[in-house]
Amino acid sequence: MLWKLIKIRLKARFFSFNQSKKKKYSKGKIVGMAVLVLYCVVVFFGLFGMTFNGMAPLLHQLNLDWGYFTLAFLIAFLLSLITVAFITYQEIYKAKDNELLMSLPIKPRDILLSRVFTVLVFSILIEAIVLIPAIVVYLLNYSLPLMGIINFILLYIGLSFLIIAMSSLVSYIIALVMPKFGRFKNLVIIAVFVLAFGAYMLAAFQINHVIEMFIASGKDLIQAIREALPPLYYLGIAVTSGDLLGLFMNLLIFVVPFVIMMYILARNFINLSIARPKTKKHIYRGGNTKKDNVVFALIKKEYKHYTNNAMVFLNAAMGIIFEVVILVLFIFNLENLRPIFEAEILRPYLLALSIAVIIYVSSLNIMSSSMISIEGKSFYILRSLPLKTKTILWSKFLAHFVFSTPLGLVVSIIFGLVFDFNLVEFLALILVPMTFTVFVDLLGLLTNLLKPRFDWTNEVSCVKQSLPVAITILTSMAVAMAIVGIYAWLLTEMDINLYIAILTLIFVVVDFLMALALNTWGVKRFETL
Amino acid sequence: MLEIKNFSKSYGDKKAVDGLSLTIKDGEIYAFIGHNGAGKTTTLKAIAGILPFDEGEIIINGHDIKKEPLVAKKEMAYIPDNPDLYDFLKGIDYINFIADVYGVESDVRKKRIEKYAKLLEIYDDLSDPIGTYSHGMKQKVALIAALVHDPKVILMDEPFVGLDPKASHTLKELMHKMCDEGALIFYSTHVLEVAEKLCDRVAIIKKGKLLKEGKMEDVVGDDSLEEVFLELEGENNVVETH
Repeated sequence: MLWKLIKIRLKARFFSFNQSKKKKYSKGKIVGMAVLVLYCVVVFFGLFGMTFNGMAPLLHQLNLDWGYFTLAFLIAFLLSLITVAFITYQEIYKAKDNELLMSLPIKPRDILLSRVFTVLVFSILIEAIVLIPAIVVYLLNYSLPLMGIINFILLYIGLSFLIIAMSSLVSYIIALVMPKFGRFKNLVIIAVFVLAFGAYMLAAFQINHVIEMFIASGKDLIQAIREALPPLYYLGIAVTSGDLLGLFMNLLIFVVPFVIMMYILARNFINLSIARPKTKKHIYRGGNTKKDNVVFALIKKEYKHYTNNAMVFLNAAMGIIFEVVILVLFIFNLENLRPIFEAEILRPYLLALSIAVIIYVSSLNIMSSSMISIEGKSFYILRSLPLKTKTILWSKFLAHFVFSTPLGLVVSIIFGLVFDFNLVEFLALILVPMTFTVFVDLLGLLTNLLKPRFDWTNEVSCVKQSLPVAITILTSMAVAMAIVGIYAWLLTEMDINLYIAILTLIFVVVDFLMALALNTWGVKRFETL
Repeated sequence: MLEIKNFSKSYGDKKAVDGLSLTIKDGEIYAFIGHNGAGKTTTLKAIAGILPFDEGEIIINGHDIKKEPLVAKKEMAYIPDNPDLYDFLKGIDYINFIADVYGVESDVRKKRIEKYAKLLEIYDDLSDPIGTYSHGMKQKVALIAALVHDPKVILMDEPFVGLDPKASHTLKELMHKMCDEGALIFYSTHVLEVAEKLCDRVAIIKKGKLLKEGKMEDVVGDDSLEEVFLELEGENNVVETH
């Protein structure tokens, strides 16, 4: 039974990407998916690979190779914990089939373990983003004993158990506390995520300081860590010298909390998973019947849909979260950053860099790519109402635009003021990201129209795990990176302002063509869904 | 008036509805009955403009649903069998959303919401999110939203499922009242006893084909609607109209 449950969970989480009725995939589709996976690998592994490539020689020179691996495991732990904590909460306490499964002759322990296994797979995948580049970079430059490599693999898998224990603890607290927040629970989840994510970003920014600290303190620091936090020291040593004491010490630390946490969860699983939020009953007393314009009513509906569930919001509007974090970090670190952006060498590229940051962040706002699918079983409502298809589609477009633009504009204005841009530069800083937002918006809508998915059981999966969402986010991120890459590698001689002008023109033309496609093909497609 | 002329709809190779023709006049309550998968919901969805169809015409108060979908839909309201509403909205927000789409003025909608919500005993709950409602409560909200723009053609798919006895009774009275005021109601049901007492006319459909249709008393004769239905279900039939 446990294995059957695991299969169902894994199928729902990982193999529901394309809900095509055809069982066999065409060659083109397989190649497409392979390219997609390869692209993800290159992007994510590349990002961490570059970080580790900078760290490895510095720490190796100081004979602090163990510190390199300790840092890698710490980063993997933090990244995975932040991501997995919310998945654990959804998987364990918010799964739609909890009540169905509990009505069947299945042990609650098996239900719990099947969900934990899914989270374990997630955790291993997320850790891989950090740990695989870490070991590859190290092995390309230096060597490790065979036992060290085996220890690395065991610790990598073992760390997932600690992450699950910690994320279960976090989600246990969330499940206990959330019902008390009633209608504000979504706001609380988003705020907690922003704080956690901000803390992670801050920690990532500080990594160079940590290395500098290592370098400056040298052997004193090693001794201090060894005495104060021996597991951290032995974690690194287990990999660099294949030390078995370090391996067992850390595996024990990873696994024991997991066992304790599973024991606690198994005892409380039924009560927690069927707990309902204690919402205060609001008796309707009339009023709130103001007439709204149709387009405004449609936009309001979309807005309420995407803000009603914190997980939906976090997945569809990650760019907004980034924008908040960037704004806070930028404003509070202004004095530290000032020498960087006031450097003569950087000044000509400051506008392009600012634009690149804003469009890269706004490429993470992907609401439109799920706005058709998210209608789900309620899709009939829109179809049965006296609404022009164009009105429905353009309202969805506007909803995405209204969602994504304001904070991006605030970032643009603050960058513009701090960097003292002239009027033309200021306009470019506002116009290019806007045309890019329109591009992502239309791309999302068109891909969602092409591959809608209405049969989801959990709307989070619709926003997170569908082909249109993947295509939109990866294409927009690729375009954002290409904008910087093309200039940096191919057009270094071109005047940067001319490049920005050409870029704006290209976006305007592409946006226009996509809008045309939405008005013609998109309308026809919507009417046949 | 609702006119369905030679309507056919296929899903791939399977013909769900085959050459259906019906006319429902203003003021009539018309029952549409048939076994599961007979084509009732397909027909209702096609009339509502949700499903595109292959052949035939559907005319709502003189407006073809294919040629003038917006005008035709303005005349209509559709209540599905399973009211999958917007769970993320409060009951009152959903009704307001539908009222906005139909352009119902604030004071008019306020009166109608109060009237129907109090009749169906859900007025106090309208501030709660639909996601917290029971099936019956969702059905009531779907009904209020359908009636908020005073439609002349009302389509209902299994409207009594999930309603408590009092709400069922209220709905039956409402249906009569709306028809007395000139609206027409075309609804599918499996509750034959209710259909027999409530409806002016009835159509029985099997595997997408019309078996029998006409005035209730003519179709039923000396038998009950259940007996007639079961008898027809067991036969290879041709269309009979009264």
